[in-house]
Amino acid sequence: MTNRERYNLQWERIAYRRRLLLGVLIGVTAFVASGYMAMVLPYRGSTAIEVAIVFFFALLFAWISIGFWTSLLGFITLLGDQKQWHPTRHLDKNGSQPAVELQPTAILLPIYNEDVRDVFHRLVAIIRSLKQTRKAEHFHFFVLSDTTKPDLWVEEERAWASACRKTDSFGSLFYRHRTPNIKHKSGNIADFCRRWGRAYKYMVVLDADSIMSGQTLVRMVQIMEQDPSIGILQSVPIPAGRSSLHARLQQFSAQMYGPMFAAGLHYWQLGDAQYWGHNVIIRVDPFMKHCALPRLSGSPPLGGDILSHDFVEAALMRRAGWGVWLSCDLDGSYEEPPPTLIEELIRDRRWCQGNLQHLRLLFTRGLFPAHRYLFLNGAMSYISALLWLIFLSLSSIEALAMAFFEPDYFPRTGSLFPDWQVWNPEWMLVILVATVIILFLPKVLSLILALVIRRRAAEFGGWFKAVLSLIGEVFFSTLLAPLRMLAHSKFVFITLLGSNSGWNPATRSDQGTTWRQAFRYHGGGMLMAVLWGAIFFLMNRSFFWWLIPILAPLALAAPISVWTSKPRVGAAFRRIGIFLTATEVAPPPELQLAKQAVQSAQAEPAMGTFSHLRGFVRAVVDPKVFCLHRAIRPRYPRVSPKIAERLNQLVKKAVVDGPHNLTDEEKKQLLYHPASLIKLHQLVWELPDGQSARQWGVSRIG
Amino acid sequence: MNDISRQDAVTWQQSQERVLHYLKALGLPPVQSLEIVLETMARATAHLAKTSAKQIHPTPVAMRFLRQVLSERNLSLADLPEKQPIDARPNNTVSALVDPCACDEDYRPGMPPEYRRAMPAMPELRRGSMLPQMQQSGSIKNILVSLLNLAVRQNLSRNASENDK
Repeated sequence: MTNRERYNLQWERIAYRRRLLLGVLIGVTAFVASGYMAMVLPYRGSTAIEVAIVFFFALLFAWISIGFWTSLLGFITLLGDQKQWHPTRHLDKNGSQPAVELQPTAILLPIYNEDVRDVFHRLVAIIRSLKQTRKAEHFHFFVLSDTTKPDLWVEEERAWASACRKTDSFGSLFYRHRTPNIKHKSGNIADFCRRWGRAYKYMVVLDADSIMSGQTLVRMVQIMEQDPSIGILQSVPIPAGRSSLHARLQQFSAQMYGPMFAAGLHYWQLGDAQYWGHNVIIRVDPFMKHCALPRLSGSPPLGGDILSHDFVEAALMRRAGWGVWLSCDLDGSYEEPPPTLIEELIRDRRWCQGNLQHLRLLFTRGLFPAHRYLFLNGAMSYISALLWLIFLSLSSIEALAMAFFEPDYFPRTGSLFPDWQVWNPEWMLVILVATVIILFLPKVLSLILALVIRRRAAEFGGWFKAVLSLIGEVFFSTLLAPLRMLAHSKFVFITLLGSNSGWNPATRSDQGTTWRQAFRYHGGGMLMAVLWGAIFFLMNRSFFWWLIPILAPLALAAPISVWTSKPRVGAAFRRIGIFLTATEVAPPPELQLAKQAVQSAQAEPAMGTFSHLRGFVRAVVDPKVFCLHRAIRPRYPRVSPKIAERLNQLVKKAVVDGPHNLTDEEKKQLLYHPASLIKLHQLVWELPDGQSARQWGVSRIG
Repeated sequence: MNDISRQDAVTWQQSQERVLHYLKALGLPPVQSLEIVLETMARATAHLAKTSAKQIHPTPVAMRFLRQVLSERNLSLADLPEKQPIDARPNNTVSALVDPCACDEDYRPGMPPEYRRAMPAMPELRRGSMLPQMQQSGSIKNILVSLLNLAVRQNLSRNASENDK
């Protein structure tokens, strides 16, 4: 047995006991709660519809119990402050291990049609933070672009060159643009591995909105060096940096509840943790050997490329015998949350499809049970919404049946005694109180942990404002839960019907949701809620009041969506000190660096003769940008005479018709082929002054 | 004057401004730019005077002679004043981008050798393989069908054993 196997055996035994405990707790909770639910129902769970109600209730209660028990275990763990199985135990009291020699590490930034300016500002902040550690020579940065828009492509190249100059990183900051976008992000990273993977021992994968401090990056490498059994080390990224109310709610809840929940996850997962796709360090060699993803048979949505690649890669890494660990106590890792509810739901659409795909991998040979559970858990994150909707629907049908039909006192044939329907309100109250405890006690415990035990009240604006913020967060999460439920139910339904989400780039700007967008997105749900409510208001008013907490937010979905998306609303809450977080009260150095990078870029005047031009047009016209693009292209591709002729025609079209009459595909063809671009550059500059020259921006007249 | 009497003075003015515009875009020092403009316009004027073609717009002619002059002078972006913002690393030559032959792999006279070395946008390749090994056990439908078959077989065997008794 190798040292790695021996080590794995140690924690696996402990993890097995802990998971058994968690399973028992969840099972008992769900069993007791569903027993009470059966007693509450009119026929005490003896009719077909009541059996279905109890079944769905049991599933849903078990589902919410997972979060409850995980949080509770996390709370107990943090009270004890034990670090026996924490990856950071390898670090000294200062949180470092200076004796460890750092190995070559690549930091990957896969991007896809992102806001170029914001991405590179964050990247510059990370590089500067890393240089402050005086260990930057061990790290190389790779911007891996899958951008399909030609204008953005050119701007990325310019931004790369500018970032290299600002941080003096020529030779350590690289840019690669991938022409075919095969297998999306996982294919992007695999392409890096195939080209340069052997040159690095570790790779850190970031998202376009990630920020990590230099110190954290160094620590992660030190941990990997100290513990050779770790294949993937996942940090817990803290949402930060947004100003809309919706984003600030997520930032507050993650920073208030996140540490406890992460500790709970670590408690029972240990070396079978999740990989979330970013803000993570991976050991390259085993990743290349064991974590290449195939294409699933069949066509999307449940076949084709695996969209949520991270969970699968973690399962494969674990199958190969390497640990996947969650470092719940490593700070300095941040990401930006979606700014609006609609953006969050658009992202969830993709995640839903990816997680449902995982069901096809549930019985893959060799996977550990913990990862099979994580696949199921990921799918249940969205299926539970559909279960909730079904539960509500069945309850509504039961309530309608009670309103329309006479009670059946002899539901079972051959029975001599009537089955009286007894209403036990105290049992319903028990279920309600139990549900409230399951949902909200973890939040209260998080508050106690943050304010009393860890004394972090100042980070949340003080005691009073922290409590107000918690109450506010509970209110808004209760308001938003039905909206998410309906959207997720729809995602599951349409995915199973065969609709493919694709991979659309996220909108990361704080522009807010317009009323038109809100009504387009939520209109159907609003109408359904109004009709549903109207029916029960007329037919069964007592049940109508029970439905109000669900139907009211659904009916007001558009105003809620618009209002929570506004940065000024978020700013107003911030002014009165609600939903404050540590990253706002005392921003850490790396976030300050990112802000400084933005401010200094805004303060810089636009330089260059063609500063008014952007993208493809600038690449054609501006000789320096043209030269840059040509120099970055690694090789001049030789083309067949047929393609050369087609490119010639394209050049003529571009000169005569102007850049605005070119499609994105045509622009990309010209950017791919430097010979055509040279010709276009020359011909454009030779244009006599006139409309064509003005379209290209080379004329100084008019 | 007679040489350019065939040409519109306005179009010549536009050509001169176009050349100046290009040199400004390159960020060359003013004195050097003026020298290049003078030489370029002189060559263009002489060329058009020699040819008997009429109504040729001078701008394309001027731009071609500009490329020739730049190529002869072997200008490098390293010659630019330091405070000028540049979008490319020093040592990339300007002449290469105006020389249509520079797109070939073959070296051309006048092209500085350092241009042939690509900007380090990407490091040296260190190729490795990454092949999928995961075995898929089957679709959900197949799994459900196998479970159903298993249940049926178990039921049949139970019935058979009961009949035997």
